Amino acid sequence: MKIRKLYHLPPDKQQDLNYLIRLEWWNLAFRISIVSVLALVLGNSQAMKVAWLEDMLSLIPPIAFLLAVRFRKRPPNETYPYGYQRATIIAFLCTATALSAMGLFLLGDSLLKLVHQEHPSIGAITLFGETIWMGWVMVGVLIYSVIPPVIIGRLQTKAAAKVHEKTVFADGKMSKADWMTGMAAIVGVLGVGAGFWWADAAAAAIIALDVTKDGITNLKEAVGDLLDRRPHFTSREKPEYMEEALEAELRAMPWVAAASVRLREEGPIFSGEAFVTPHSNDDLARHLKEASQHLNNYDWRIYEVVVTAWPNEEHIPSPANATPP
Amino acid sequence: MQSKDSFITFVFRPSRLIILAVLALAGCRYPVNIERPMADMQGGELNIGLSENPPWVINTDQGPAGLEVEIIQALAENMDATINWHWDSEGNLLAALSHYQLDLVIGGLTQDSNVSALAAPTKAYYKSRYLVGVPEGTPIPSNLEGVEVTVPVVNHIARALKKEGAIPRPTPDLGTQNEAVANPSWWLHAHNYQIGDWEIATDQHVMALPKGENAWMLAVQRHLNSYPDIEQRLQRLEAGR
Repeated sequence: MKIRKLYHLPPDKQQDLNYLIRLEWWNLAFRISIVSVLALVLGNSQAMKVAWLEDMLSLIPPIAFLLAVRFRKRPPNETYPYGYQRATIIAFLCTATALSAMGLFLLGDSLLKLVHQEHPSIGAITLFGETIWMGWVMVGVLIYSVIPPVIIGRLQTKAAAKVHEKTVFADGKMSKADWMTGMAAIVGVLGVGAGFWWADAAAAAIIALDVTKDGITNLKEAVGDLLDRRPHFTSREKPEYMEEALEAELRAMPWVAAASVRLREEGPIFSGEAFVTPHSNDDLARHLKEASQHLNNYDWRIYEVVVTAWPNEEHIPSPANATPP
Repeated sequence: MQSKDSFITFVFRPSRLIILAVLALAGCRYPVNIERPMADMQGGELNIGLSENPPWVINTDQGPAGLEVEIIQALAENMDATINWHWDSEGNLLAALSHYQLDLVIGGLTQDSNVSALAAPTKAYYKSRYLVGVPEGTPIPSNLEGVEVTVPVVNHIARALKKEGAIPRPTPDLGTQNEAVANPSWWLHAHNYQIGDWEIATDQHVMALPKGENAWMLAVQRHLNSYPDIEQRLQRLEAGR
């Protein structure tokens, strides 16, 4: 059996990844603290409930990422000859599914409250012998819940783009959505205090809409990865055009008459096949192996491109190759 | 990315306006009620629903009495308000409350899902602790294992008593026999029982307000929190019966 070699990141990228892992641990710690504090002051506010559930849910991406990173360090073996790289995609799919489902549920729940015209009760709390309106405490806690995601979210998206970690990139976007959620919940609570019964549920519905939107965007991305869609780099909507670059590399080799390449994503890295038509069959096996090694070292994101010889000229040049980007 | 940014401005710009508007509207009177303004209650009429449940609410020839009636009378006095009392069953009163026909419902209500489904309960202003007591002069048993304990015929503590190993015996005229009794601490004190240190159950006593009347809730809660000597008042009311 031919078992793959374990993928190793180049040292500088490994450093970037280690930083990202540390960042996610911090992120997880902050989110756990936010979830616990929010739970204490939930009360009867729908917007608070939605914000809290979103925060609960936002624990999943860092956990999924940290687990996946641990898991994919395992070398490929006889049972899993392709290795464990795709664990990352599973983590990503989990995150996206949870996000979409919760978003839809909360949206429905909030709209129902609007339809029923429920008047949210935000009671009183006694702190240090002083009875004050619970809304003030909620707003205070929400302000705390807003600060870490603003800072961490910014760091996350930058760091994640460096090592092409979609889970964290999506998570960073979620962090950004998080602070919006917090702000909307504050508006909701203050609105109720000002006598607008709908403020709370309306704020909750807006938050839920945003959560759903995030979830569906990421779900599309995760399904795309599972269906071996052509690679898209983390932060971009357009494909990466790595295939075209590899084809050009192959064609530049003296023994190659024509070449075409297809790639897929395996988590943060790419694998695929290259089909080449040689001018002659001299030394073909050695040429193929060297070509494969050359391609595998072409970019840090490439894990394994298998090069095979193709007898005829059935190559269809990639559309972008005619006019390189 | 583009759509996210535009989403943020879409949500955030109006929300900033709303915050400003809210602060401007609210001034120092914050929070405000959703249905009935506080200004209308202050010096106005309070519609209080009550159902009999001594010693919390007692129906006497001279009108309503009881601990919760006293509490609300004191609150109304502070607010210069007059009270319209409305006697009815707890279920009817809570339903009326959910339609904003009443301002408050009392009747020895305890924290449970029936109340919170239709109304906004206050925080518990008093906890009734169900304890076991023995008549004066009788030694307190070292544990409840196998001890016969008399309880009211209608009660919700028999199961908890059984868990402690005691044998609950429902009795119509509680306190007339020379036997151990399980009942709230104020009842045991009022009837001069010696009290053992087994806490069988607790009732969290609340009052019911209409949902969303957050200023009213704050006023009631403040009044409840500052109301003194609830235990002693309950003892006095029970002893006077």
